[in-house]
Amino acid sequence: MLNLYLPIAGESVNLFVVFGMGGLVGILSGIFGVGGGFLMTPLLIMLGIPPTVAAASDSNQIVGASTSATLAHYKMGNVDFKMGILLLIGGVAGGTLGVQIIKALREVGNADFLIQITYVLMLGLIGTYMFVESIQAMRNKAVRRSSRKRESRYTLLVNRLPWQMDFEKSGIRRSILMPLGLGLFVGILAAIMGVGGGFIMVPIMVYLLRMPMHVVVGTSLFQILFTCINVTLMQSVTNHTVDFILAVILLAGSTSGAQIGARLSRRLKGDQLKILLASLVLLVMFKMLLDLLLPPGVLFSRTGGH
Amino acid sequence: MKGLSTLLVLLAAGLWPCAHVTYASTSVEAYLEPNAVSIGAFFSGARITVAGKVPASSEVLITVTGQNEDLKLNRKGRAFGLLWMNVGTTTFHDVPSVYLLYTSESLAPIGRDHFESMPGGFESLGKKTTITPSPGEAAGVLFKEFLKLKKKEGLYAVHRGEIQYSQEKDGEKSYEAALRIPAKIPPGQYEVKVSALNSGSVIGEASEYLTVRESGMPAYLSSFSLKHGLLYGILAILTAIAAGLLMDTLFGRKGSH
Repeated sequence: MLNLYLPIAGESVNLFVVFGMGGLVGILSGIFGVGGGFLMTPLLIMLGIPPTVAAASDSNQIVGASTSATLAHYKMGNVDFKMGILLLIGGVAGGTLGVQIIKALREVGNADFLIQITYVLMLGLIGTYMFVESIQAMRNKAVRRSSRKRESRYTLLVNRLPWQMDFEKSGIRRSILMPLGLGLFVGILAAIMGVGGGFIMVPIMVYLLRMPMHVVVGTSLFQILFTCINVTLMQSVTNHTVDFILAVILLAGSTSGAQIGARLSRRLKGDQLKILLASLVLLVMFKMLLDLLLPPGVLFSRTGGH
Repeated sequence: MKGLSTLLVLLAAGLWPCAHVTYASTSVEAYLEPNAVSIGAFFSGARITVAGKVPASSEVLITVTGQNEDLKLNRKGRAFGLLWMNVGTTTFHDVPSVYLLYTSESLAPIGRDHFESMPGGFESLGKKTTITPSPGEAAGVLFKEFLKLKKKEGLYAVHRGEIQYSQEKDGEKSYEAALRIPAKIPPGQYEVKVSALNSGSVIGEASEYLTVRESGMPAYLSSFSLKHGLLYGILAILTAIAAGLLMDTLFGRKGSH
């Protein structure tokens, strides 16, 4: 039982427990192309780490896990850099805008209510849609054909947008406005909800950009890498909440987990990946819903952080 | 307030001529070993020994208290009568950052509720605490919730049965306690107070001070993160990227074979 003291968190943790948590979340990250903050932050809080330190140190850790996973996916030809960079540009602009929006909302009041309801609804909608769609796709190809017809108006609109560009890795041709606009949208939502946005980005790439699932995972990870670099830097400068020791222990687990995850992802079919991710999204949604509906164990919590 | 109550206690102790106590004053002795705790890289809490002498007829209660602070907390409530979320903040004024109580086994069977209402217990702390915005009737409920948070964090605790006595001599007895100091204790100075209790009231007290400070790696990292935030952030990011690259190289090699 080796314990290490975390100077910024002000708590002592068991080395092996934290290492194991890093490994587990790293595997999920490598499979699904999400950062895993939705899972890691609550786990760290359970160990007694203050919420602000948990979130900031986790983003530092994700930098390592997504570097590892992006490289693994890149070797399998799963990263569309062109698409990723455009989404990222939109995302950074959206993040900046989102911070201003949340400030304005807080002044009006009831911001927290709005945020949590949006979060639960988004997760519920995305999760359910992905789940139903991928089950139908697996069961019956005919259903897919008819749904393609129904969505043709959307396809028509997409094809009419100016500045069309080829995205070779994804094998699609889209207007440059699409990744920029969608990146902006996800950036705003992520900033408002205080999450990395991998959750919303993956379904958007699958259903609105119509990219192949495996490329979606790799490209999402590439993007998360840069988002988390930005968050780590901002937190270090303004709030001093990044715990280096905690991040290093998590990294040791998550960077190897990410490699395993990326290889597992390769073995799964696109629709299987979608169903698993949808289940994960729905699970997080139910957990949040329960938190909102059940009386809390402790009425008070430390200020700061989400 | 504190001075007044101490005075009253001293007066009371002096005015009650207890039949079986033969010595004049109720002297309490307390020694701390060690009187400083340093938080190093492998710190996971510590044990400090408090020992000394108290009147033979009394029971010992030890408190470890941190500096008083105003603590502002998020308060959860029901929004629109349905959903639990943060609805505002509540500030607790002049509450100790840390409040640890240690008792002997012979006090332990009294039960937790009674224990909390003893002098120096949580209940007496609750009566002293002012809360803003003023909750009126709900003050007791809010303080209970405050205690719940502090206990969950391990910063407030009751440790029963931690004090051992040895044989009586000349109306005095020796006591010794190994106090558990939690890993979460913030650096600072702490008052270790030994109180001698007789039928529920304090008949004598002695205080010592415990210093908790960071040393080595933790001290270096926390001052570095505060003084050079940007550099700290950049190094943290580079370390993470390096770990990712290293792992990819290791796994990549394994995959090619």
